[in-house]
Amino acid sequence: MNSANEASGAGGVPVVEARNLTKTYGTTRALDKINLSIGAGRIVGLIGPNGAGKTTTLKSILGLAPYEGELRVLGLNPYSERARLMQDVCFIADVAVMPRWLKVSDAIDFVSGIHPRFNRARADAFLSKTEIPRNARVKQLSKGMVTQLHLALVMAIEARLLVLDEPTLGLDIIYRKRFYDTLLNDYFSNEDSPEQARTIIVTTHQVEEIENILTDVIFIGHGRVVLDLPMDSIADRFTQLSISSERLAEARALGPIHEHESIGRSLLYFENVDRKRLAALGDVRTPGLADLFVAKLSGSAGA
Amino acid sequence: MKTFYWLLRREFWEHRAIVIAPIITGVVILIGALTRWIIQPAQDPTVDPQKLADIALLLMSWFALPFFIVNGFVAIFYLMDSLYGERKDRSVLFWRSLPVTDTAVVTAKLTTGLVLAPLVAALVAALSLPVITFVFRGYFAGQHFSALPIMWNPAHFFQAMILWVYATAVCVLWFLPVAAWFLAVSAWAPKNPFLWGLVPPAALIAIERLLRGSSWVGDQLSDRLQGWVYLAFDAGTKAADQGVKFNGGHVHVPANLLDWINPLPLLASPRLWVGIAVGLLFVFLAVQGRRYRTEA
Repeated sequence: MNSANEASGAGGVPVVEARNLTKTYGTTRALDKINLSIGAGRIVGLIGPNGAGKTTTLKSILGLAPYEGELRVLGLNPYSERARLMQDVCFIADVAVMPRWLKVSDAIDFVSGIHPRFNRARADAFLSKTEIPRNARVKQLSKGMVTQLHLALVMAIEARLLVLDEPTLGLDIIYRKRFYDTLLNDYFSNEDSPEQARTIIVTTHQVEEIENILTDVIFIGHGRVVLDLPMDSIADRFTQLSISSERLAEARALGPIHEHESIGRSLLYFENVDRKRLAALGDVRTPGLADLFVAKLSGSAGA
Repeated sequence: MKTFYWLLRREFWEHRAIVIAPIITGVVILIGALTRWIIQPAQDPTVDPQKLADIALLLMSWFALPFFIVNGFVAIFYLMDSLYGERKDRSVLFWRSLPVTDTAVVTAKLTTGLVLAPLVAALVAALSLPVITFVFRGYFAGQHFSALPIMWNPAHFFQAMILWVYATAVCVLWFLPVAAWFLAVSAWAPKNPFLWGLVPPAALIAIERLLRGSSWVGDQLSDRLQGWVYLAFDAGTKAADQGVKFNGGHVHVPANLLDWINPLPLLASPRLWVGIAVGLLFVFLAVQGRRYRTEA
């Protein structure tokens, strides 16, 4: 599959560039020759079922695990140059990873002492908007507070790439909403120049939650890239058709990539089929990411 | 340098036992001594001042020993837990999201367990000694002489402190392979680093005994445990030693405690340098483990 967002990286070096990225655990191939090119300033959703290779991809990008194939993140080899890379990359793996014994004030002191790009005033400003007590330890905070603390630390780092792996896992809906609002307002809004533009890669099971903040989407299934394109070209490429059963045969002749029944009507998904032709058969609309995901992945499973 | 400072501070935030354990040791010694004082009050109205001076000297020269022994256990637990614990609670993902090399992290942990922990133990011992001496001057309140000047000889105190720092330096070099082994085990163990750290050496001893009936491995390990004492200290060999009678026994303590110090046999011993080489290998393995094993 060609990377459809190569155009978006035009003018600058891609933030992430993978060629034949492969990772094998014993006899299972977690990643099978993945090619990726993520341009600066994009917000990319990495979406796939459990065990599809999302986390493995992120781990490779973050230098947390060795891999085969070629991978450059901000021009560096993430595995051998992790420490340098981390000056420009931040990540939130999930809520459980802040050490329980760490005191909030110590956490800020520590990151401030260690990270050359940490802006302490920003972290303080962010934290003062929360109810997190400075002298509390992480184990005394609620899950939502731990995420807020982690986010405060990460937001205060002037990084070029932010990687979020299931950042809202286990959070209630209020925190989840606030999390993405903060992300967009505080992190992503300050684009000074395309060179300085910040890039976000996010994985989540809650596809609907991130659907409208993404600029690009990448589907991963069975260790391969199933789909990789900018959000605004989904409408050009995919159509969801809702029809009654008498016209089903006619619609099937146009080659849907996936279909399923829904309350007496059939939902068919088409890729690269003229929407006007489909509109003659029934109701057409642009599929949501979740539907598209099911369509593409169940399709690819049979292929 | 600044990064390394913060890496060390972070270890003390997490492992407060490094500071608390020697303090508890000091308190236990004080309570133990007070208890003895209460059970067995000063019954001898005429203590020999010389005997008192001898006991004070003995106390000063050996006072840090219980602190160092406790520290040994604390350091082993610390080193075994340090890299395993962060994998177990997955906080390794947080630590590794910061721009710090794995080599720096492993070096900081090794420095904390091998160098700073015994120095903290020595420091707490040095602070406890005057307190305990001061409290115990009361034990001799009924004597015809003033006990404190006899018990508290500042020259001996400073000699003792230099001796403890020297002992720490010797142990840093001598125990490098032991500390680095525990750290490497902590970096690689799939679970229970304590078993992984202790069972393989024990198994090697047992296998050697079964197969060959010899005890080379056991001898090496036993030498690693205590060999430094004979190599780095001239205990009881100097002519200037004064014999101190203690509980009927006869203990040699030099008039100047620094006469005990003699690093030459240690530095000339191949056992030291082989140990350091093996230690550096284990450090390397620990760094590789920190890089390679992000999951517990």
